[in-house]
Amino acid sequence: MVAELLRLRFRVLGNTLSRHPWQLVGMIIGGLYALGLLAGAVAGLVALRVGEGQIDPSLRDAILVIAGSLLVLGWTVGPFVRTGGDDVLDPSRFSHLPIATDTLLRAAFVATLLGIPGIVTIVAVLATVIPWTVSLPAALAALIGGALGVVTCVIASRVVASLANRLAAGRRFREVVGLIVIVPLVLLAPLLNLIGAAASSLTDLPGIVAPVLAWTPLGAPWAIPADVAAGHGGVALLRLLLCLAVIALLALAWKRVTIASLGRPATASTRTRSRSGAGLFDVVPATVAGAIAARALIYWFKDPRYSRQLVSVVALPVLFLALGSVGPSGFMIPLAGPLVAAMLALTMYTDVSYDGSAFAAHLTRSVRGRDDRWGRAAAGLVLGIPLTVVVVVVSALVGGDGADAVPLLAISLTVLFAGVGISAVSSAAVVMPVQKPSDSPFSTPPGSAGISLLLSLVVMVALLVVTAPVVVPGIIAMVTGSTAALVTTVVVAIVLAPALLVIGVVVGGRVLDRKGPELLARLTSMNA
Amino acid sequence: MSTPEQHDAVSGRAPRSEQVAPAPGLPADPVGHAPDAEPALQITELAKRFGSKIAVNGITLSIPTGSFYGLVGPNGAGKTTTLSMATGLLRPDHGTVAVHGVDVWAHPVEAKRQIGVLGDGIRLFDRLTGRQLVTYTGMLSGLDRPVVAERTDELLALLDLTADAGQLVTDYSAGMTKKIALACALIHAPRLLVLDEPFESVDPVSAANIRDILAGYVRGGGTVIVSSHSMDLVQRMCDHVAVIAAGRVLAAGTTDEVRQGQTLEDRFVELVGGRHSEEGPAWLRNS
Repeated sequence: MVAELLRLRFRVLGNTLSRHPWQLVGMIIGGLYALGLLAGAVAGLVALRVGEGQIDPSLRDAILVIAGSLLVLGWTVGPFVRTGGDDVLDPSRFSHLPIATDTLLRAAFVATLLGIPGIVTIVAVLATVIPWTVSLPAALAALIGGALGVVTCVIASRVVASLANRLAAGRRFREVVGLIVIVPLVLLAPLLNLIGAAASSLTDLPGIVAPVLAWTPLGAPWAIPADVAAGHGGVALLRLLLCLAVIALLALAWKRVTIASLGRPATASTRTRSRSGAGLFDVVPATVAGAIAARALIYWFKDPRYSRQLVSVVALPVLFLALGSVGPSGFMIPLAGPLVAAMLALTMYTDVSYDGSAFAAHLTRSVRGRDDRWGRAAAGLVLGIPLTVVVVVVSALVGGDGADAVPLLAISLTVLFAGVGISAVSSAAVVMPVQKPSDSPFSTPPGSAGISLLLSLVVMVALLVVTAPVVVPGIIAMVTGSTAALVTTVVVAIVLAPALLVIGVVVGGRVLDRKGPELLARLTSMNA
Repeated sequence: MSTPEQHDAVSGRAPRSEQVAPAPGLPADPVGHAPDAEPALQITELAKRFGSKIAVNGITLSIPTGSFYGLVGPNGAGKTTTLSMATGLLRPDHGTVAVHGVDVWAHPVEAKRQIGVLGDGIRLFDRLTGRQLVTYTGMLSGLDRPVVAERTDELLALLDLTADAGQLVTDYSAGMTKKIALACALIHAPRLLVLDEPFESVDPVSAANIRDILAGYVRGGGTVIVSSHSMDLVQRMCDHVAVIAAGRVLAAGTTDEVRQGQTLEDRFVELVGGRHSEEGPAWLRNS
């Protein structure tokens, strides 16, 4: 039965990918990314083995425990970021079939293990044996510890995924949780940087943290070979027992959550307050573009997919400013303005993809492409212009160089206008696989991460190229204080920014006018 | 139940017009469709292929102005594909579509101004409230703000949605969602209504109300095309019907012509085939 379920899971994935080749491309890009990470990890592990004798053994042990702990932590918070196609084996989907819960859990376990993250983890963990090839007992201990570690990773992630899905039953609740969880995740990488920077001043930090971690479920599996290598058999046995106990508890919890969720499928809806009047629609200009702008603005706040992005866009510059004002990262402060402008503009490239088949409303009312583009662009600018101005002014105040405010403002607003223009073209031309508004914030359609990586790279490069005439003199003005460069920056920005926006809107509008039905066909097949 | 008067409203005039004007183009009939000789919707040789599957294989249909036209067919017959192409949502591989003489694909703006569409399985902008969604659609149609506000209020009242107008459409039940979609299809006062499965998951009372609204709309000179799986409903409600299967028209005409004295359901099964007489496999019998 487990084999049947596994076949089902890969058949579903295969069918999805063969219907949507772009998702396959995305998967391949994701796979290549994972391979890169894997190669780095293996190289590091080999270096530890080769450097045997030159590296302080306690440092080596600490590195392995910390890296292993991060791996387990990553798997545990992973479901909040993405669960990939593993939802296919979500036990609640099988509630109507007479299949034992244990069978479902085993199948979900193996399916998770055989996904790209699972395979990468297995290979990386196998590679942790390399540093321990100094003695046979140590190598065996590494193998056993590694196996326990992988099992912990997988079960922990499944438990968290089930819990998250269960908690996320109500729409309102799910959306709020999604927002709250997304923010720290967006900030995770910069936060780690900050911690890393602080830690580098404390050179002995690994030596302090690692022994503590080694007695937690996160680090215990990875400390066992070190114990064995050092001849502390008793300690190793104790840690082994700790690992087994943790796995048993996790497995029990997983089963409990699953059984509970089988009886109560995750559906619920909440009511919202009643209100007369059409809200924003009564305020905007009574034109087609005005209606579309109002709709888009409402969606930025009411649709969790947009609001999550909006929160990230606001949170990131705050972090940049905070980072820049402490320690040696002062160079980050002026980046906050252009960054917030670019991010906001670029989040709009999924605009039409998010509409899904609802875009048919524009087509049946034969909305002109230009009106569609103007409406969406206006919504982006209504949010983006004040946000960008505030961030630039604050960054100038924090950075203590008020003179930079003018070129920074010119650069940031040009980036915003150009980005909105580019998105006006790209969102009319490219349909991405995206979440539905009602989807769990923790789910992603297979391959979408790779596609968005590729697309945002392309869009980023385009953005850099078209804004260069403002960015280059702007930087010169800030570095040299040259008045000529400053004047050039401002004048070029005043001409270039609106021009890029108009070009984007007109070109994007033409694409929509010509290819509207084809766009809808792709939207319907991909995002229903 | 409003069924009896419903029946009267539709069938009371339908048979008469059929007897007087059996085919379009014949001399005028004082009550029926003939005054406007031009069909509301003329579909000619329409075809569409998805990969290796031919979804619509040369469909020609003439929907007379002022008719209440039913489109029936088994699952996968090509109903939705045909209606999508007829309303300008899906580009046909072959064939033409004209709404009151205007080619949908050559002059989409003029043609679509006359069409109201309720799609099946099509998402709505459901993060808007019911009132906002109807207002949005009205504004997209280029109507003035006061007109939009007035018509929105009237449509919400007509469809019993006034109390829920401030709720997000995503929190609506399936039936309420169909009704709000119908309001969106009606806001710009189209001459032709194209409704794909409008009664699916709608409760009986709302369905009866919707039928009343549609019957009134037809009496007022409008034309309605509905696709449906409910033969009973189509037989009672529609004065014309077309049976399509495997992307082709099997029969089309007035409801009485098509059903040839049988119930529409029996006639449909006869045309489409696929009934088998066995009672199912032996292991399914519990006794």
